Amino acid sequence: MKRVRVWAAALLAVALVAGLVRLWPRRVEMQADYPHYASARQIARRADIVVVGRVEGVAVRAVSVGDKTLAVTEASVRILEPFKGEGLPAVITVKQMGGRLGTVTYEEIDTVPYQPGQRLLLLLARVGDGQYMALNPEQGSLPVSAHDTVSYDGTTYRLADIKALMNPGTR
Amino acid sequence: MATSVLKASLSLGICAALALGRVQAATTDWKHYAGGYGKTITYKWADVESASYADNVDNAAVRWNTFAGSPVLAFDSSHSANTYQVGNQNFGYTWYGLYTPYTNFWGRVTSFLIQINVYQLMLDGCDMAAVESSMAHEMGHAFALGDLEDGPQLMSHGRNRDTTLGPQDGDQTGVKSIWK
Repeated sequence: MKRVRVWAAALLAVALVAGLVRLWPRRVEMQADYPHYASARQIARRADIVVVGRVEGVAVRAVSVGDKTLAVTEASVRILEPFKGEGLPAVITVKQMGGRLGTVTYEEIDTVPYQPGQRLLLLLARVGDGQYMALNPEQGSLPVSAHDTVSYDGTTYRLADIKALMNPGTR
Repeated sequence: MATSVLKASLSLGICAALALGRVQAATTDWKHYAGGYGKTITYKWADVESASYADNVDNAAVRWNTFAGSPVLAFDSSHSANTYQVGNQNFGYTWYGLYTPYTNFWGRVTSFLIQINVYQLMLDGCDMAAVESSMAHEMGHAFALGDLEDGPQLMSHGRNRDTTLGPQDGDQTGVKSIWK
């Protein structure tokens, strides 16, 4: 009888450890190869739309690729001021690589995860029906400061400067 | 009409600028990446379209396998735990290539997914040389090399994609150091 209890306790301990192992949070770092834009002017001209927007919410979607699963975050972004692009809706969906699936958080090394409340200057490509994605996670998704400035490759620009880049006549 | 002409010229301009490369000094020649898989990598195709690019991916693998003193090996195998996807359909992403590792509880990489976005490369006016450059670049991550911002290395975002099709001096030094 005592032996049965010992075995039952051992099995319970193994099951507990196995359960903890499965629930333990993990972080995985992805690496992406994006085109690098030589200047703010170049990326602004390449972008399908350029907007100042506020992130209202985020959701993570699991995308199947063969026998693998990819984590993709979809952010709902309210457009505060459009700089480029016509007939845009009030809220757009902006995709971003990575996100948390179960206990595993996937992160792309150069990507700052979208979070509700962020005010961003977004230089986006249209990648699907009503869906957009930054042309480059570092250069196409820029936090806007309280002074209405953004930092692009270490240089500070006023939003008005970026807006002026949309005008083909601007040097 | 004018908009589409402007867009086409911009696309060509972007790839031309990428092809020319940016003349900036590299701060480092290689960087270790903890999400690498190992010194020998195998891969299977995600779908039929991916398999149609087998020759291009094989070219990328051969460049890794055959440089002088190469310690690494890459080849395709239908029994592989790793998946390679190459597609000219719209994936819905702006990246040219993506490497995703999958780990066990201890953080050991047990398999990986490589994706090459031919659609986006072609949209930016790139040719098949640039596609093969991306194919070899993503393999570099599986061999535990990280991204660099600038410089002539294969692992650099700012490389000349039309001529940098395989591992350069820094990339070769990197894998030799990691897998000595």
